[in-house]
Amino acid sequence: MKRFVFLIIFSLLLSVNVIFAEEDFDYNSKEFQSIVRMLSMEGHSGDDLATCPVKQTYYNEVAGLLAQGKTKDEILNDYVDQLGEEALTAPVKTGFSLTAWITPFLLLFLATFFVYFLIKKWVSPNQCGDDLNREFINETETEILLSVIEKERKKYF
Amino acid sequence: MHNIGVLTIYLGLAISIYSFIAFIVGVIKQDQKWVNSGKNGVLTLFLLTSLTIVLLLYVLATSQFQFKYVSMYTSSDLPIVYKLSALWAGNAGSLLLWTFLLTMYTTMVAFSNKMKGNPMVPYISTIMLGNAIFFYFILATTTRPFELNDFIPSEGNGLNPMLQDPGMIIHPITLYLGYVGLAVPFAFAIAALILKNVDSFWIRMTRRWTLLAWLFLTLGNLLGGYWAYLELGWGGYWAWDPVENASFMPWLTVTAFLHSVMIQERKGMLKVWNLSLIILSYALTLFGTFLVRSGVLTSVHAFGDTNLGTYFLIFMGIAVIFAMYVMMSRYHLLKKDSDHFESFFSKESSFLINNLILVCAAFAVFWGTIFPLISEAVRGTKVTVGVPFFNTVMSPILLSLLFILAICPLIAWQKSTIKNLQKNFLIPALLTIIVAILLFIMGIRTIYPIIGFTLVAFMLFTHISEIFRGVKARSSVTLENYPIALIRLISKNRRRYGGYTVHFGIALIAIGIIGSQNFSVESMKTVAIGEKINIADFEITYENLAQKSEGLNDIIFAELKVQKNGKHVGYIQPEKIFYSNWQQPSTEVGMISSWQEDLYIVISAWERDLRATFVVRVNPLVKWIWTGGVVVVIGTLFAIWGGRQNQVIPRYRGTVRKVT
Repeated sequence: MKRFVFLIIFSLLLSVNVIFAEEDFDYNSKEFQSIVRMLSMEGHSGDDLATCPVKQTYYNEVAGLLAQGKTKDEILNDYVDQLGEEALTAPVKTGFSLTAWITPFLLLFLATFFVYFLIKKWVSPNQCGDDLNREFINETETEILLSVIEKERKKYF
Repeated sequence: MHNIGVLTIYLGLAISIYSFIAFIVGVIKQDQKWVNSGKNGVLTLFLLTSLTIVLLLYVLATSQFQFKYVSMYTSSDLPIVYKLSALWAGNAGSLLLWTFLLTMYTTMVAFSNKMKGNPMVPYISTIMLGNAIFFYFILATTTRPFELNDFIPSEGNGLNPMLQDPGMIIHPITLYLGYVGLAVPFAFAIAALILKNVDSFWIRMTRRWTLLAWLFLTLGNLLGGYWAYLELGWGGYWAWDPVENASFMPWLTVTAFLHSVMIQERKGMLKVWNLSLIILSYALTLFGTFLVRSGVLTSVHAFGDTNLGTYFLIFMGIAVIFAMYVMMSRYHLLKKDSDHFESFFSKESSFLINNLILVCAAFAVFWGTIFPLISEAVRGTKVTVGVPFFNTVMSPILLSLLFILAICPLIAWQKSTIKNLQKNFLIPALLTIIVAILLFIMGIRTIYPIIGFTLVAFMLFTHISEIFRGVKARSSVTLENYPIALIRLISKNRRRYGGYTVHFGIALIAIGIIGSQNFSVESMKTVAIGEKINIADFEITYENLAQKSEGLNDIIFAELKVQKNGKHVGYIQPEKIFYSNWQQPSTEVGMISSWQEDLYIVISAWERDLRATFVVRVNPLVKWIWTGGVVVVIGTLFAIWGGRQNQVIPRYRGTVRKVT
């Protein structure tokens, strides 16, 4: 009985929540989705919209702001102004937070140079001269050759 | 039972300390008796840990709620399989499992036939025992599996419903097997350094260990993704959650290691780099554990309710500093006898670039994971680093990895000439251009999918071309027909062709990721019975909403008829499950899966008049991810098992000692 009551209450709660989803705004529109995906919604962005009141509040707010004619950047900036950078699911691309975006690529860039000079250092110039007339080593062909030799060896010895 | 359980843990701590000391004394005195005593200690420790784990499983299975761990993670109505899998639902149990695997691996190494008479054994055992001491210390002092409740509850809290899934039985174990497995190559590496053996012996000896650990990490990540996809109901399989990242980072560094060791084996180069990679990989497993246990970062996986994280951080610090010290003290030896590269264009160079990208990818994940902490420490501002960040940063890095993966097989060892490159790349490149044009004709206009699919096609063509060249060459020499030549070719070099199979698997996974990330469509609709939802080529008719009971759980389910392009393709039944002992209901996704796409439906809500809200997603190519995972597993197993190559025991040429 207790569970039955719980189920009924839960269903009612859900029904209250869902109605506006259909009536107020097309939450499936690309523009809308591109905005809500950028909002962390206080850690509720991955929750089920129908059952999460926090997520519903955010969806309502974004729908309202879009209805007022605000653009995606303006809406996201509004949230950052109110709640700080934590409002977004990614750091902003200014100030200190810019380091979050550029550091991996900076490292990749520097490491590429490092590896380039390392290979250059490891390629012995004398050896290079010798190699001009040397055929590249094909692993597969070497293996096949070895396996044929092995077969012949077994046959005759 | 409580006393026995506690006693086994204290005994375990005492025996691990004793064995650790016995090995050190044996090594210092060069006395085999001490070393043998240490080995017996290792075996006893393993048996004792097995007993401890059996005891905990017993109290879990029999619902003995006087134990805190049992009452916290199980309930009497839980199916037996989930009562047992609650072993890794909490800190104490999962750390006991970790300790069990660690002592099992230590025993396998200490009593390994291949390592019989090898002076490295006492050193390796000592290093692994150092780890075991730490874990036993934690089990004895901080997270005690046999801790009693102040009063005995009549019923337990039950297991989180999301964990009541077959995927969740296997996923944590595979990850632990991967994490703990990395302790073996780490211990071999440090033991080799201590003994001043700077050749490739440790690498050859641990090749299968490392591959197996990598395989388990791969499986753990894939199973985790599969579980998330089916159970969490948000339509994705990877959320760049800190704990997911924690298992992805060592996967990346071990992948780099598995490639770079080939250069050391062939040319004796990159010794410092390979050691650094294995130390880093091992440290990252500890870092992952720190993240899960500390609660410093928000994650759906986090256990963090104790100060365990601090202990792990300290232990990780000690392990890394010790390992770096040993490595630096042997630096002069490591730099000796290094070979050189023959040419700028060689497989060696391509492996270096592959390593560069993999390590940078690991760094990018690490950086994104810890950036919230850095931001808060530096300027006191909290930031969230989520999916948009990781997708933006990782996409170009992983695409460049695909490119390297494509060209690597066709570049020869030592030296590739321009003629060689032209000969090898011409046909794959032409075919790839055709694929790119076809993609464009098919209407794909966005840049990432075009680049991604084109690179995957290039990768597949270069691999097929390389295999075909091998088959043709073999056939022309041996006069075998092509199928026989193919079978013999791949069975003669399981390592290489196992590796290529893994690459094929990665290509399939990449196809799935690119497709699902770029072309998925989502719609949320509230409909009445008989109404339809149209999405992509699908027409979904909502037919019924009903309730049923399964054990103590109540299930609300909807029945939906699915048509695609006017043709009936089946019924989907998404569910919402309500548990008697858990507040949050869980989602059971309804899905029709095909090679082309998954139709993925979640029932979100319903009303008294039976109107219901559905989240409907069409996720293209997701099946390719799981298929790719299976191919990766097959390839790795092929590379590990059987074959003459795998039977060869590398010859030990290092320092000789009296004790082994």
